[in-house]
Amino acid sequence: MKFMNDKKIRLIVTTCILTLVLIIGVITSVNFLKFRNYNTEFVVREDVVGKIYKFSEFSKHLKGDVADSNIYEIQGTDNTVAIVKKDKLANYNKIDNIKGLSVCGVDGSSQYDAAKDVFTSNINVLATANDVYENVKSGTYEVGILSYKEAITLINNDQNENVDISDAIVEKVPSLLLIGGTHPNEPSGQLAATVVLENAKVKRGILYVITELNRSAYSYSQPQEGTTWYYHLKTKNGNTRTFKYGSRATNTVDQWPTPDVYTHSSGQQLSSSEVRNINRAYPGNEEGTYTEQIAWVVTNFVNQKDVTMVIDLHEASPEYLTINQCVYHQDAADIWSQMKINGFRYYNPEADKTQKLNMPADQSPLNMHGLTHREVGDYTNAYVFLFETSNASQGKIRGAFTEDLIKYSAPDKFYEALVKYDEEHDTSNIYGAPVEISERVARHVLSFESVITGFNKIKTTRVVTQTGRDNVGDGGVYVGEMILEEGTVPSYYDLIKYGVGNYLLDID
Amino acid sequence: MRVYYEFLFVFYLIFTIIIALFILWNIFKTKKITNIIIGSIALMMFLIRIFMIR
Repeated sequence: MKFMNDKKIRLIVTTCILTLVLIIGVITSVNFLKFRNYNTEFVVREDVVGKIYKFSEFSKHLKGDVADSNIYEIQGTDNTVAIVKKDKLANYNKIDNIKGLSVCGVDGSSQYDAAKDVFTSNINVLATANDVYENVKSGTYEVGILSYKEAITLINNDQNENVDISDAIVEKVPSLLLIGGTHPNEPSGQLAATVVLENAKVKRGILYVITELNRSAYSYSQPQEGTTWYYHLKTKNGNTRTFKYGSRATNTVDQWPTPDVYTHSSGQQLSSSEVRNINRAYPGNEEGTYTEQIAWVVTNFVNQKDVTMVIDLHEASPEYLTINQCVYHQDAADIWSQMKINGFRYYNPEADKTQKLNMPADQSPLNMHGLTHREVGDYTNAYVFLFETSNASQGKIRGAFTEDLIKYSAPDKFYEALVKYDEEHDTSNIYGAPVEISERVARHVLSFESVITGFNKIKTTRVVTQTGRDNVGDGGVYVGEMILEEGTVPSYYDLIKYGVGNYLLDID
Repeated sequence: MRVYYEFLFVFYLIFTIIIALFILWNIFKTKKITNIIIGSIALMMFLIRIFMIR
C-alpha cells in the first residue's frame, strides 16, 4: 500500500489501530477482572449456621487469597454443649480442661445423661436451661451443660453476652462434610450444597458445607470452550440468584507453570492439565502447589474435626462412563450396602407410593491416586463418597453454549439426536442422558440423605483402613446417629416438580 | 519447589515485557498494515496476560 510509505500517515494509521485494539483489550480485561472478582452470594441463616471457618485456618498460605473459601457449620439442635464464661473460653476449650470443674445441667435432659459419662465430678442438677445459664453467668458454676439450641437461644437473648459455647466436645456426635464446587463447570454439585446450606436443619450431629471448594477455578472459564460465565435461577419469590460457571482447573494466574507430566505425591503420573485439578491433588500439601494447598484444607479439616462422612458432588459429560452413580472408599462399603437397601427412596404423591432411584456404584480403585474417594478415605477416618450426574454442558458433542445448556432447560439437538440414535440402534454412545438441573440437584440431595441413612443403619465404630496408612483421629467410638430435622431438606420429587430455584433463599 | 516456581514466574514476566516492547517497536517500524494489526492484537494479549498476573 503506497500511502504507508509516508512516515506521517504511517504513524497516524499505526496509532489509530493500536488505540482501537487497546480499547478492545481494556474492555475485555475489565470483564475478565469483574468475573474473577465476582463473589457468588450464599444465604447464611444466622439462627442455623453457627460458625463459618475460613480455608486459611486449615492451609495457611491461602490467607486473604482468591481461594480462601468458607466452610459453614450447622450444629444439631440436640447436640450437647458446654457453656462457660467468655473470658475462660481459651482455657476451657478441651474436655480434659473442664472435667474437674463445677458443672451444672438440666434435670432429666438427654444432654445431662450424655455429660454424666464424661465428667468425673458430679453434675449439679437444676430445673431449667435458664437456671443453668444464669448460674454460669453469675459464676456459681464454671460449666453449664445444655443442648445447642438452648445455649444459642439464651446467648443470643442476653445483652451482656459474657457467656459462650466452649469448643470442648462433651458428647461425640457424627458429622458430615458436604463438598460442592470442586469443579466449577459442574454446577449441580454447587447448587445441591447450596440447597442443603440454605434449607437443612440438623437435630443431632454436625453438618459442614462447602459451596465453593476451588474458588480459583471459579475465577475464569475454561479456555477455548466458549462457555457462558454466569447462569441465573429464579427463587420462589421471583428474585434472581446468580451463579458462576467456571473452569475445571485452578486458574493459571494462581498456579503456573504447568509441567509436561504431572507427578502426584504417590508417584502416579498424569497428563499436565491434571496438575491444576483439585480432584487429582488429594491428600494435598500445605507447602505444595496452589491446588495442593486447597486440597490440604479438606484433609486437614476432616482430621482436625474428626469428620465422620465426606460427600464430594460432581458431574460428568453424558458420554462419560462413570455417570449417575456413586464411587465410595472401601472403608465405606458397609454403608454403601445399607444405602443400596434403604437409601435412594422418595415418596411420589402422584403414584402415592415410595419409589427408588437407581444408583449403581463402584469401589474406589486402590491404585488411582489424588481423588477424594481414595486419598481422603486413606488419610483420614472419614467414610468418603463421590456422586456424579449427567451434565450436557461438559459434553464434547454439544451444540452452542448457552445458559439453557447449563440448566438443560431447553434440549440440545445433538444430544437429543444421539439419545434417539442409541435407542433405535441399541448402542451406548451415551451413558446418562442429559437432564435438567433440578433433577441433577435432586439426585445429589437424595444421595446426601441416603449416605446418612446408610451410616445410621450400620451403627459403626470406626474401622481401621485396609490400605494400612496411619490411622489418625479418635477411632473405635460409636457416635450414634446423625439426624436431620424432618422436612427441612427438599425431597427428590419436590425438587424436580418445583425446581431448584424454589429452594434457594432470597438475597437481602 | 516454591522458590523454583517463583524464579520461573519472574523469568516469564521479564520475557513477556521484552517481547511486548519488541512488538511495539515493530508495529511503528513496519510498512505492512497486516503486521500493524497482528502486532497490535499480540501486544494486547501480552498486556492482558501481564496485568492478570497478581
